[in-house]
Amino acid sequence: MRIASPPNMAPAIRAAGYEAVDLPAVHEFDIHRSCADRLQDGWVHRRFFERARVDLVVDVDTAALTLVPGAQPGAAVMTPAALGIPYVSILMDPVTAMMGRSRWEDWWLLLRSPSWTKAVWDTAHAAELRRLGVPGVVDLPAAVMDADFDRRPLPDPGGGPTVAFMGHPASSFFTASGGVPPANLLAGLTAAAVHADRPGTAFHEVFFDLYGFGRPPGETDDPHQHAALAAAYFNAKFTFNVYLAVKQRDRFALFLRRKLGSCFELIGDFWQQNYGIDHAPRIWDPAELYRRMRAAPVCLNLIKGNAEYSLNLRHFEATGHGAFMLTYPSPDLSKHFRVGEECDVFHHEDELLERISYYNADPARRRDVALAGQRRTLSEHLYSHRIETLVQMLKKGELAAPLAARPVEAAAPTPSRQPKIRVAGVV
Amino acid sequence: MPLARGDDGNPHSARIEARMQSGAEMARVERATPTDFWLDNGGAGLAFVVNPDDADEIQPVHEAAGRILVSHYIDPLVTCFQGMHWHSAWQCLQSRTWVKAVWDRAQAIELERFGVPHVIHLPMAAPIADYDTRPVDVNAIENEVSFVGAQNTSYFHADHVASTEALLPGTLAHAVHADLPEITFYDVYHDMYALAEPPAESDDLVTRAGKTERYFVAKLFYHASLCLRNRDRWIVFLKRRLGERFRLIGQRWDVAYGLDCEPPLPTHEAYLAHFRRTAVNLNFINGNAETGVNMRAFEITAAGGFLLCPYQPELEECFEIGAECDVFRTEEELLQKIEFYIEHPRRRIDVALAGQRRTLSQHLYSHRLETVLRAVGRLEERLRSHSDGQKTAGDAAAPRESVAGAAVGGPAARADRAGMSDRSAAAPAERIAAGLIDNAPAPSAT
Repeated sequence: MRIASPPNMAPAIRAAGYEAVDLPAVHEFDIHRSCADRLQDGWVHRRFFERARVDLVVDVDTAALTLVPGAQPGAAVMTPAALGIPYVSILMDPVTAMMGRSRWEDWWLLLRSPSWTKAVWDTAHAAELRRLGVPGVVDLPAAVMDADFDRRPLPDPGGGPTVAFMGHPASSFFTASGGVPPANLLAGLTAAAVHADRPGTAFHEVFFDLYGFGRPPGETDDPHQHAALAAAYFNAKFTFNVYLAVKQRDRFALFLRRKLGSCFELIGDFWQQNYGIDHAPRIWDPAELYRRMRAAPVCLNLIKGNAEYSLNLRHFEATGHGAFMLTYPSPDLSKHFRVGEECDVFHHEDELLERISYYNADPARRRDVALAGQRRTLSEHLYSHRIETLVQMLKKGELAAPLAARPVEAAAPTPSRQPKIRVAGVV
Repeated sequence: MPLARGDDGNPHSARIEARMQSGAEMARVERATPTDFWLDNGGAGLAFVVNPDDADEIQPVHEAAGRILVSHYIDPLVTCFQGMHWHSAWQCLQSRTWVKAVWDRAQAIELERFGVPHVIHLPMAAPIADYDTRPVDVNAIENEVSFVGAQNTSYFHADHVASTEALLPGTLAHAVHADLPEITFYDVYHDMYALAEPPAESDDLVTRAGKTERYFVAKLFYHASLCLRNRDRWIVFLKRRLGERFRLIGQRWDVAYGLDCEPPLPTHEAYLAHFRRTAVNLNFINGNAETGVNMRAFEITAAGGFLLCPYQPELEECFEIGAECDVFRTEEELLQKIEFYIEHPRRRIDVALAGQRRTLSQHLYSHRLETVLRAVGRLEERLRSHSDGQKTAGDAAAPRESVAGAAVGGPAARADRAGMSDRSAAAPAERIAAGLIDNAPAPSAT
């Protein structure tokens, strides 16, 4: 099987035993580029697909999402789908975090394409997309890119920081200018209240089922109304995301900086700007990043506010590269790791301090947990495993079916024209 | 005792001028009919007379009269002095002959930690009355489930813009509280996260007042969010789920959320009778409570009604949950318990009877008065000890202020008296009367 992808997914495809075909770079795979840019890109990819004989396209977010004109005037179609090639995007961010230079209504229309599979890492986000009428959504946990992993047991901690976290603040909300009308906070705070009493309650359950703040888009809604209802939902969810950002990440960085001082190593940008706390800048070199993860006696993982249920990349990066991972629990954590054996968790500030002390005092235990976590990740949670999952889904007919191959218009669009989007299969 | 009121008729918004008028009257009444101590609701007894030794200075009348004042707070203390500049109110709170009996333990502790002397925890209670102690007649039940109470925050519906920076302390406190339910806002704000410097013993009054003012401003969003979490959300949920089965009596639900609601019950008798005619009486605590139990829990049970409410930390100290009342923690559990108790009237009546016995034997205001009397007794003993100690040491007769401990002066108080009430003006208290220089350690009274 020949699988085309942006270059960063190629090692995983090969590790899974398939032939990797690099997609031509278009606009540097910028996930925020406009639909007009993607129409230009479509001509590049169309020629590529016509020559390359590809069986499946696996994208990362919307990096390689390109468009070609459809059969009807003014319509646009996803390039692989137009040529009968199954197209899957592994989404590593929420849909609201990409396509920033496109109109929401156009982006939402693209998402509703029935010939596009969206493999979503967070099961709550996947569920809400389905409820919002987005077809072709499948659950696909995050993973770590296939690589040569350092499998040596961790050395005993030396001097220096006892715990490290590598990541940015999950929210810049509290330093945003302009203020917020309190009425905009109502749905999110209600969801936060429910979530506090019943952890694991997803926002869409509060918004639609418990409190009826709005209704999901229906099949009879026209595209404008459909997109508007989805936008209203995500706008209302924003406050809940901010609450989760504080609850799941930012508060612990603030707390540890205060309690542990320089014994807490905080690596990431914007902490000083957002919260006034010291930090080291982000590590851009992946090899150095993973080395530092292994070097930390306790490698802390804290999820951002955009994840309600599932694990982020770092769960698998940290464990895959052999670090000892201590994490704030997510509902889906026990599906992927045995807590206490392959990683460990803390539930609040007191327990966080207690776990840090415990594992610093017991390096053998820490080493055993790290090794077990690495074994788990390397055997089940590489992106090669996820590629295999997608291939099996393809074989079973569980991926969104592409359109039948159809001829496309000969003329390329004028670059300055912002096209009206009409997506095949979407009424 | 005469009661000072604000322009809106609310005692909490009484300005200093109004408190001076009532102070003069209170002094006159006390001279005519001497009492042992004074007891008020929400600091209404804080009134002033001119210091006879300094016409530019005013003095709390209870100190001038040599009386201990006990204030029972059923609202947050900071809301009870809206007509005064906070710095003036803060200065008065240092009075060492003023007992502040606070119904919410978390708020009592936070005041203590701010250095307010003589703070005690005093839960609310039911008024003394002739309560019908017969079991509720199942055949007389008119309502399946009901809540009687107002919608109490306009924060989410008023036309204003909130600074995002101002939302951080409350958001942080909510996040921590979700994982550590016993944690209070003070714990998060000062102890765990050090969002600001707490008042220190070495701080002068002005600095301490400023720090506490900033603390309470930071807490505003937390209170508003608690209104939503503790009360409003349940009401909205029940109206949606149960419709007309859920009888909602109280103001502003229509304005805030577009819900059907009925006006308040006309009399206290009708209020108590309503609880006996309702199968499941719901009680939801307001956003002003972190740990405490509001008066309605005691009113419902005293009347013989069956009480169902969200879990609250101090509830277990007042009632045996499951036997004298019952609780819920989630929306699902709320619905389950409503249906259970509607379908099991015998069980419901047994719980209601047990809850009534508990309240009538332990949670009337006569019982709370016993606590107040003990607190007053302890304070009198300490004051006597302090006074004797000073005489033994050969001190000159203490200035009159030193017995009391506070006199209010400074630009803030003078501004208030002039009716300027410019709350935005900086208010250094330039003159701290001698009475505040009281080096005796404040007794721990909670």
